Amino acid sequence: MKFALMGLKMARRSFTRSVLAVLSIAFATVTLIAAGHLAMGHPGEAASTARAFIGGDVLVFPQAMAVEDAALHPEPSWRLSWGDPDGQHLLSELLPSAFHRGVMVDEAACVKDLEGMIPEIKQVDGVTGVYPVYSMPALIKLGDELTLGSLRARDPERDQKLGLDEYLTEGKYLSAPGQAVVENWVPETEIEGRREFGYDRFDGQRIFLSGAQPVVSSPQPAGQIRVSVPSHRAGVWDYTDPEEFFYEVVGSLQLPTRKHYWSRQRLTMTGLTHQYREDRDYPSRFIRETRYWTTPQVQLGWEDFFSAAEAAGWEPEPSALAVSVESPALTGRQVEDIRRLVAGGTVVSVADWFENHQMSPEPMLAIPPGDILQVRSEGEDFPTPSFAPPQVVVSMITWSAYIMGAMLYAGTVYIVLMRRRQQLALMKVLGATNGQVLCSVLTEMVTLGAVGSLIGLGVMSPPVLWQLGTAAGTAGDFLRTVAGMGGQVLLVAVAVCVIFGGVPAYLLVSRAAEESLAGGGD
Amino acid sequence: MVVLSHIGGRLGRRMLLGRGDGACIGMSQSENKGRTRSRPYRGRVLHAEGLIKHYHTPRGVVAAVDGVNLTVRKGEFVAVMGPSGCGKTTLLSMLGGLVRPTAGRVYLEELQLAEADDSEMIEVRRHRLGFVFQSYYLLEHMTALENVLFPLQFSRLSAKEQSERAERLVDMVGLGDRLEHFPRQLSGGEKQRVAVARALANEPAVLLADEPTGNLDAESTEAVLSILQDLNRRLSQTIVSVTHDPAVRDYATRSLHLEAGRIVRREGDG
Repeated sequence: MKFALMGLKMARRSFTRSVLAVLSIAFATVTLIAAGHLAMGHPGEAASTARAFIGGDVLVFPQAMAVEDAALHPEPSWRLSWGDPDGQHLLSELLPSAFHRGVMVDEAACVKDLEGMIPEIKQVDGVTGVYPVYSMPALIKLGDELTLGSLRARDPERDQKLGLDEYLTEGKYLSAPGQAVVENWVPETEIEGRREFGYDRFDGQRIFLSGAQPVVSSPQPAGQIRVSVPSHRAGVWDYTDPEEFFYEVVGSLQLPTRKHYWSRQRLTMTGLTHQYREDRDYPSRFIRETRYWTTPQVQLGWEDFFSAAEAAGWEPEPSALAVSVESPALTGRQVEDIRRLVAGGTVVSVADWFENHQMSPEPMLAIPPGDILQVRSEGEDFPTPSFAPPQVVVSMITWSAYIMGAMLYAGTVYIVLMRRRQQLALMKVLGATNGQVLCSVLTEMVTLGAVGSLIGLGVMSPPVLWQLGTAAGTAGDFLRTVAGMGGQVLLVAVAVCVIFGGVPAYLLVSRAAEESLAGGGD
Repeated sequence: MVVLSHIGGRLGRRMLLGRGDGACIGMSQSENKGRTRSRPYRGRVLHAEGLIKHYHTPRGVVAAVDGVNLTVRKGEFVAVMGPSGCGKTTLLSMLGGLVRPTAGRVYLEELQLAEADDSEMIEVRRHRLGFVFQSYYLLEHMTALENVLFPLQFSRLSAKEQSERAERLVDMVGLGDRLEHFPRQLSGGEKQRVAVARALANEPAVLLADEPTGNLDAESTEAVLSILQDLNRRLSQTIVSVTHDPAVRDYATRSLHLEAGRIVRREGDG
């Protein structure tokens, strides 16, 4: 410890003499950050893509990918959702006041009741947890062309992923290959009771969407983008200016998802819904399927979207509650218990609701037959990404440059210590062990390296800030980003300094001969 | 002359003990021919038997030291004199364990240095030997005080005691006002005085000085030698100094003359 502190002190005093070591690590750090960002791609690139995408009034088809999430169901606990495929425990049954013909019409009542139910349901015997379930917002407008992009679907029967074109042109999904014409949207409520409830299907004439009933909002005036959040939240967001939508919604979502930048994934808006279906092998069990809704170019985790939406002032609310119970055998009893809770709760009757709102008891989201949505080929509406070298090339350049910097540092350390070899020998003559001398020297050199990496970080921060600054976000987001990056950079620099400085330091310290001091006389 | 009035610890206690009473023995191997090699006996601090050091050069083997027997008793100030190239520094380096002899033995008190392992040598350097070099060899990035503190960190003193002791030592050599000066800010004489203070930090059994006045002017030479003499006289510090400076002889209790690696003459009370 004493010698480490001594090394720190020495680092301060020898800074000017060891400036080359500092600069070598600074150089290496600059290289690393620059190459890292080159590999990451410009966030603005994704952003501009998204903007063009939205501003071009191109519609997104929120194709789903079903994922069996059995890992989340450790026995004996399992989950029961009101939207389960048997249609026995639909939310509409539990909250009839908020539904009409299976379509949620009273969002406020539903949300209120759902949230109010959570503590009560938790008290039900056998219930181990209650979780809100959210659905996915979707951008959709009837009458426009439908862009499929690079969406992926999953063939549940063959258990493999398919491109959507492939998905649609499979014989059982599409009558004629290449003819991808959607003739009608059918809310899930019209197909409830089918075993394939949880999957999107195309029967050649119609696409069946599940999980989010009013995925399709009513036609909008030209130039207006309507954001429809799932099922019961149709028509939450209205933006007349696509750019406004982009900056306030999409832009604000970018920073929380910077992990996608690093993995070079393009920003894609993603949401998920959970569906439950009966297990084929064990009929008494249900498997939860998580459905990810993705747009081709903007990819976000649902949590990212959710938190960003909250930050933007929108408070998404659960569309359903998932209840985990101790044992499947008790499900029926618990459902009855929960139903009784609801019956005694603050439920507005259907008749009262319609009377209060002076609405017709017709389905809100009926789509006139004959509306045609044309499916366009992939990528047609997306701008070509700017230059992006292959990841492997960027990685090679990055690490080659960094290793060059590290070697330069090692050489500098060697030269600095060579000039000091008599001092090292002197420390040993005065009673220090090799380890103590090494500790002192290494602490000094690593400190200098760390300073170098901070200098490199300082040099690179403005361009990084500028780059991130092209995406929307707060100053706090930027600072957090840079601080996180700084921590990683510092960690790498210290590791490199220990390795690349330690080797020459060890060689010189262990060879620092006391005989070298036996001169001067004769 | 610097007054050693307030140096503490074992050095202070030594003031009560007076000087060592052993006679000085210094003669070449040829002078000792036929005599039985004796084991170190009580009172001897440093003892060398048949020390030989050969260097291999392109022109053949050169005998820097050629069969030196030497005993230094407690409290002695021995000056090893001789012209340049006579092997003084090599002899001192072997006595201090910096250079391994080609043949012969060196005993520091009861320990034979050639047989000491690394940990024993570290202990020797920490607690039993002090070095003063012609080129000072101060730690360049440390202040005068920190240079003196460096060996003290191996002592059992508390940090406060170490600091107090280092300050006393620097003050003792007349540099109390230069505690925070770096070596580059000190003159040659001042550097050497710091080196002396550092060598004394852990109260070594023997202080080995290699041309301590070799790079100094007359005034600094006198100051440094006065300190060494004062240490020897008042604190019974055992000192072995090699030098070609005749002035040193006047400060030492005895002197040995080295020529071509052999002791050819001895002077003084030994």
